[in-house]
Amino acid sequence: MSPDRRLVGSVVAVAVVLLTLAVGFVSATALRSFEAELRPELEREATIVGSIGARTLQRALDLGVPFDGLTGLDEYLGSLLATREGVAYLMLTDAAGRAVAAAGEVPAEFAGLSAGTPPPGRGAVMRALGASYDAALPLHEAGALAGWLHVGIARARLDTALDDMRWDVLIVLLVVLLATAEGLRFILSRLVEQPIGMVRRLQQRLAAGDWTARAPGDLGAEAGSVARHFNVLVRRMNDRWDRLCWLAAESGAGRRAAAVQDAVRDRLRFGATSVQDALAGGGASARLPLFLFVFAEQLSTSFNPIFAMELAEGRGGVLGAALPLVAFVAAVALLTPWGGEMVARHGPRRALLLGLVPAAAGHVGAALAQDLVTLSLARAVCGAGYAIVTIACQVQLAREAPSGRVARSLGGFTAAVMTGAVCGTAIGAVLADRLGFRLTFALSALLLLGIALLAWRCMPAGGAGEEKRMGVWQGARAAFADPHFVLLVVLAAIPAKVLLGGFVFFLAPLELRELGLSQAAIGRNVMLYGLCMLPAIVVGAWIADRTGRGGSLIVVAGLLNGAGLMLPFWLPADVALPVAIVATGVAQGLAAAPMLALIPSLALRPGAPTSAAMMSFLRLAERLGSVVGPPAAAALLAAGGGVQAMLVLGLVSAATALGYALALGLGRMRREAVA
Amino acid sequence: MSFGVSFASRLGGVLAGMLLLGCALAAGLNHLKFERMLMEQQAKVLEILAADLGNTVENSLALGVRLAGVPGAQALLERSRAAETLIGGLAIADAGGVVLFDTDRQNLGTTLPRAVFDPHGAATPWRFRDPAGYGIGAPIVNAFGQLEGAVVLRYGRAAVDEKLVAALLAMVQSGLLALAIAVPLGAALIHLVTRPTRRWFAAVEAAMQPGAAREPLAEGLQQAIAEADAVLGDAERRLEAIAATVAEHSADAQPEAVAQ
Repeated sequence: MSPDRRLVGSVVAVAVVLLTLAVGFVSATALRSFEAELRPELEREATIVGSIGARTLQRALDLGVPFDGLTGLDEYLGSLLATREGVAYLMLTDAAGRAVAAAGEVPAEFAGLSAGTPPPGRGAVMRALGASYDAALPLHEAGALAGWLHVGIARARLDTALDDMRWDVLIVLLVVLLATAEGLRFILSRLVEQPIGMVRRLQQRLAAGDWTARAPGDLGAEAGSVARHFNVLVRRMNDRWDRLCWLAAESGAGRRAAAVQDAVRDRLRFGATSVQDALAGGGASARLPLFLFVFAEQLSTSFNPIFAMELAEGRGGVLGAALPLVAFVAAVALLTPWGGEMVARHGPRRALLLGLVPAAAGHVGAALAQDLVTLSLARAVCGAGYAIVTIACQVQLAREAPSGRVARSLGGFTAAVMTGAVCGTAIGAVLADRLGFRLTFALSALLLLGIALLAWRCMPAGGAGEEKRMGVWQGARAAFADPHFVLLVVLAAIPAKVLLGGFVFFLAPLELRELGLSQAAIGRNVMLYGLCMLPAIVVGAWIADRTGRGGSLIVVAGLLNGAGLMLPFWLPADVALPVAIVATGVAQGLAAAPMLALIPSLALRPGAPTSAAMMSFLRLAERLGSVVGPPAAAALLAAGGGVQAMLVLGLVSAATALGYALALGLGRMRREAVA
Repeated sequence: MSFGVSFASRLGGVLAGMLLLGCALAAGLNHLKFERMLMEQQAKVLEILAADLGNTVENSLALGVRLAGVPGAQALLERSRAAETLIGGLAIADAGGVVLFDTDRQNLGTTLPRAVFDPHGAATPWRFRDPAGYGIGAPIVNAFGQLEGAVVLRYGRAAVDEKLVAALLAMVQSGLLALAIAVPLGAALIHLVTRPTRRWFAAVEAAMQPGAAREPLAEGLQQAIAEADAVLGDAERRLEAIAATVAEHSADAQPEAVAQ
């Protein structure tokens, strides 16, 4: 392991551990203080419900009805219970704690307040009773304590609220860690990896006898000092060479002196017009802009349909609410190939900067939209920007991938998109709550401006594929003429996205709801997908780079996904569904980087279009899978139920994986036969 | 070595900034989340009270009394407000939005804005927010299911703010404590883990000095320098030798030329 990589690993480990501990400590305090503040609020609710019930009874007592003469108590308590959500039971006892009337499920361990318990001056006597909080409100008859009305608030409700809160705190912790890790990765790359890489490149040039290189003079820290010393050294050697040339000219023995000079030139190169070695962009130069771009785009995810419904003013119903989303997805899908073409024509940096223009215009348009059609058009324009920017970053990551680390570098694309989506959605919901929908859109546009500055400053220019430029249609024909690419698309990329859209985003939430899970719990279960996918991407990319068997990994991932989806046949649904989501996350994560990493090598084949174009077609196919997934799952659900739908999706995954394995095997056999 | 801030110090600074940002983000996001939940819980409790007041008025309507003539309605509102500190104000308006009873008597006879009470959308309790603060509305429906008016309950967020400030202070305290420990610890750890790389940089720099001692960490560079040095030195010696030979030949030839 090189010193820079070891250093980066160590610094990231230190940062992650310290961040987790510090943010975890703050979050734990937050949770504690929240529990301390929320509990009395929930108890107050119980007290108020009780006081409403007690007031009616108290009025009867005040009107002279004796406590023992109260009638219809069970019916009254029953009706009160029916109107109050979250109340577990209501019980009336006399002053000695003996039960008089009850409604709801009174816990077995219930015991009335003993005789002589003093009534509180205000509110209720609170106590924990089994699985409930018991609020006891006093009833008075002729100035003396006559009885107690007990209101039981199910503790499960409080516990669920606190559980939700704990998960929310964990999600906040995760968002903070993911966002800071992305920032740290970029800073480490600029501060450590790239300067060290530059010094190493310069050393290699010297070792190869190239004394024309100059280090950039604007570096700071140790790298800057090394660069200055390097330039002095190169200058010193060039001065010696100049002296040598002067000596040769002055020697008067032209031919013999020229032979000496030629002998030097054979081994060393000097130059007055030197080439300055610049810092390489590195993968981080594309990864941070991509993360920030997806983050900005996803800020509106949580409220897009709500905003659409507001603008539609009730017209258009659910379909109207979905229109902006459909417009965005359609624009991304349709314009992705043109995005690839644009990247091939202008290079990643210029294409990214150009792509940011429609994206920002789309956000501004959405912020100013006064009706649903304008909003949908604005979102379609955003989609056009998304198609260009994502491809530009993907191609830049492929360009910057060091030899033997292509899958890991390209795995960074999926990871950045996922972390950007997770962080953007979480922060966007908060921002929308504070600033409103329109200002959140405007903030996204502002963020894009920052991304443009970042990309302009950090991403290396160039990279246009002059030699292979071909139109979209010609590029598509060339790409799909390659059977390896077709097999990858049909047997791996599309099935993976069909499963993702069909199972994780459609079928799983419905089936989890069938199990009686709350919305928050469903959300957490679906989030398992992303949480498992992120580490799986790293593992998959590492295995693919180490073994060079990306194709086999795609097969294994397809089989794993298939097996996960068939679990409801062997396991109870409440276990099988989360495990199937985890299996899908792991499988999709394992296959993500190897799939992308196959593209650069396919693009090198004769007649193939550029890597940018092939990636854009692969992404187009993935979008197609994402679009087909939910309706396919819905049709299967309608035809045979959830378990059967999962079985069919699992079989599709396993069958396509086996088909891909067969194709790989046949290809290998043919190559061996030719060899 | 002569350079500004070392990269280890820069990394330490970045880490400190990240820790600060992380703690601030965690505290800020949690604070916003608490605010949302506490406001929701407060609104829920007050909704129960507003609905209960509505039920009380509906009971009077069931006896055949008109809304404007419900006996003790004004007193009921004032009693309810006094009993619950969260309540900022209570009003009962008729179906046209005209205020019939109000804890702030100045409002009697005024018409509620549509944003506060819209008779067409008042089938169930609703919440609103206007420049004056937050509010909850509960419909008053007669025995025939017709909307007679509404109870409008106004409340502030002072109680929630008090709790939020307490929670925020606790988070800030723990954040400062975490930073006080994590920042120096991080700086020390960064210093420790960057030591090999700093040594490498120092070795590379030293290797480029004239007459440098052997640097095992920059062996390749020293080898390249030595090789270039040797090639140039050899060429210099050879050229000087050639120049010397040519000079001798010239010296021998010059007197002969003069003699001719």
